[in-house]
Parts: sequence; C-alpha cells; structure tokens
Amino acid sequence: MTSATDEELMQRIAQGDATAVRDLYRRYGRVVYGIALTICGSRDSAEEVAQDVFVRAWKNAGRYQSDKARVVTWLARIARNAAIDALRSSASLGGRMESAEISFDHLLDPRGVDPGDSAQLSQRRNRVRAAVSRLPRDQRHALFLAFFRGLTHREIAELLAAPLGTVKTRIRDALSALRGELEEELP
Amino acid sequence: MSIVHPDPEILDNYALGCLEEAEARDVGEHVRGCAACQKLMAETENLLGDLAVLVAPMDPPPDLENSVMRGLPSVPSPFGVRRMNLRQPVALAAVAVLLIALAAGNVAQWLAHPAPKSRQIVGLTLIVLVGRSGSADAYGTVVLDPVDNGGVLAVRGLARLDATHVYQLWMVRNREARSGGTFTVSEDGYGNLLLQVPKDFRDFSSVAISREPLGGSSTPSGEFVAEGIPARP
Repeated sequence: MTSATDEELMQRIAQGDATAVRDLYRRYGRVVYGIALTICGSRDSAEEVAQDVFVRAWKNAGRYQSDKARVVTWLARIARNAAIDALRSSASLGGRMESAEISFDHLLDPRGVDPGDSAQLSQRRNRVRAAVSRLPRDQRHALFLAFFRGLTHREIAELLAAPLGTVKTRIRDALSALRGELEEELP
Repeated sequence: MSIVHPDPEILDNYALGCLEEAEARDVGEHVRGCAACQKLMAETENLLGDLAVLVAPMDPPPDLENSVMRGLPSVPSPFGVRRMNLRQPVALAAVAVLLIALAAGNVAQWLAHPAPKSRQIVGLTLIVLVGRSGSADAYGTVVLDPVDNGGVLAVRGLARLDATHVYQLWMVRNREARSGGTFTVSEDGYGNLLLQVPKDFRDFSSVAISREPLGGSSTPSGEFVAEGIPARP
C-alpha cells in the first residue's frame, strides 16, 4: 500500500497517473463498495457503481479541492449519488419503497468498527454515528429514507403516511442538527 | 427555467436528491451557473459524504480492482497520445471493419481529409503517419486497442516496391526501433498490416515505416518514408 497522502494521490490522478487510481481503490475501495452494496442491495449493481465511482474520480480529480472536503468524504458522496442513480434506474418506485421498510439502525451500532479503518476515519465515523444517534427517530428515519433509498419528500410522505410538510420539516431539522454538531469538523 | 437563488433548504434537498423531478431540474440549472449556490451546496455535500461514511466498508470481489482499472477512459500515454481503455475488446472488431473499408477503398476519402494530429476515436488510439523522404504523398494511420495492444496500420501513397523489398513498420523509443511487421502495397498504393505492440515496448514514442529487403530487417536500414506524429497535450 502506498504511503502517499490522499491529497497526493488526487494530484497524481489529476495529472493522469492511472496507478494512483489503483492506490486510491486499494485505500477506499471497501468504503465505496460498502456504500454501493448497502444502497443498491445487489452485488452486481454494487460492482458497477464502484467502477463508476472510480471513473468519476478519474475524470474529476482536477476539480477536487482539499480545503473543501476530505478525499474519503468526496468519494463517499460520489458513491452515494452513483448508487442512488443506479437504484432509481433499476428499481421501480414500488420496489424502492418496499425496500425502504428495511431499517438502517444497524448503521448506528458502535460495534461496527472496521479494523481496516485509519484512526482518523474511525474517529470521524464514530463522531457522525454519535450525532446521527442523537437525532429524534422520526427525523433520522426520514433522512435515511431520502439518503439511502433516494426517495423524494412526496414518496417519503406517502410511505410514512405523514403530511408532506412534516417530512420536509423532519429532514430540514435533521440536517440542521447534524450540521451544528459536525460543522467544526468539516474542512 | 431557472429560478434565482433557491433557499438554502431547497439546496440541501437538491443535494439530498429528494426534490421532485421538475423542481430538481430547475434548481440544477441554476446551480450549474451560480458559484455562490455551488459553494453552499458543497458544504451540504460534505455533510452527506460524512453520512455515507457511516456505512461499514465491505470486501468487494477480488477482480473488481482490475475491472476498475480497465474501465478508466482516456488514460494519457507517456507521450501525450490520448488513449481510452475499453471494458470489452471491441477494438479488433472495429479494426476488422477498418481493414474491410480499406480494401474497398472507402477510407480513401477519410484518409484524404486533413487530419494532421493524432486523436482519439471511441475506444481506440489513433496515430497519424505522414510521408517523409521522397514519399511526401504517403499518409496513414495506426489504430491501436490499448486493452490488448493489438492494432492495424492503414497507409496510402507509398510507391510499389520490387519483389525483393518490402515496407516495414517500426515502433520507436529513443534510439531503439522494434519491428511491427512487414507489408507490401497494392497497385493503388494501399497497404495494411495487423500488429501487436510488445509488452515491454508499450511506451514507444512514435511509429515509422521504412523500406527493407524482402523478409524485413532487425533494425531500420535507412531513412523512414513515413512517421507517426503523436498528439501533444
């Protein structure tokens, strides 16, 4: 495994060094694949999404700004968006809403520590996990439905049999609370 | 239709992807042209990235790494010729089509079109050769599949040689030239050749053609009659 920093890898990728993509994959491929599989629910889709993520990283490395986001956060966001795109194109709305019944509370289990995590990543994950755990359950649920299932406000409202305005408020309040708790951590 | 500076809450929802399609389209159109909103969205996207990192990493299939590397498009070569990686080896099929088109003469017009710079076409590396040293009318292309480094040469405008000589294609790196094979040209001046770039020579810097004795030579005998000019970044 290379000793280059994340930022150095991104610079090399931006300069067209494909070997740096391999290094980045070896460092964060499991993170990306985990997000893809959690959202897509299918190994085939997760593999395609993971490939897509590193292609996007390859194409957009020149736009990455280290003062705006950590590399792992940047990759994770790309992975989430790519996975939601894949989910929306492959699963019917009915399928997505059916799978939305699945609870995501296991994500909050502090025992879910990955031995491959760097100390920094582990600390960050713990911090985010703690902040999300402190959200009221209905806010967390609405946020997770949007985040992990790609449902719109209207779809969430239908699923939960809640007013549209209530769903919007829950998600707004959840993001606001998380922002408040994690803001000082953001680059 | 673009709206002016959406509320931060709407930007959050756009980043989260929970807006309805029409509204998302409007917001997206605005954000693409608004640096201020892009900056606000970047903060939200960071937050969402943190949320994604909550998910436990999982072991992908062992061959995913190679699939990722094969899927990278437009890998720049050491000398600046743009290449594309293919997920499937479709290039040889395209090369076969190219050969057929050459034999039928259909590519003549394409070759005659001014194309002074090497460039990329979907999935393939294209290197343009121009005539040198008494073969000013010569013009050709080497089309390579960067996945398996096979390819084809197509050339026109070279003089027919007598029975004791052939043309030979070279891949050149610094002062070293590696043969890509020999070929002859038709009465119409067209020549073509299937080639394979050796694994240890994939960083060659140019391609060239020379006249050689029948059977070819281990090194170029004389001046090149045509040479490939790689694209510069």
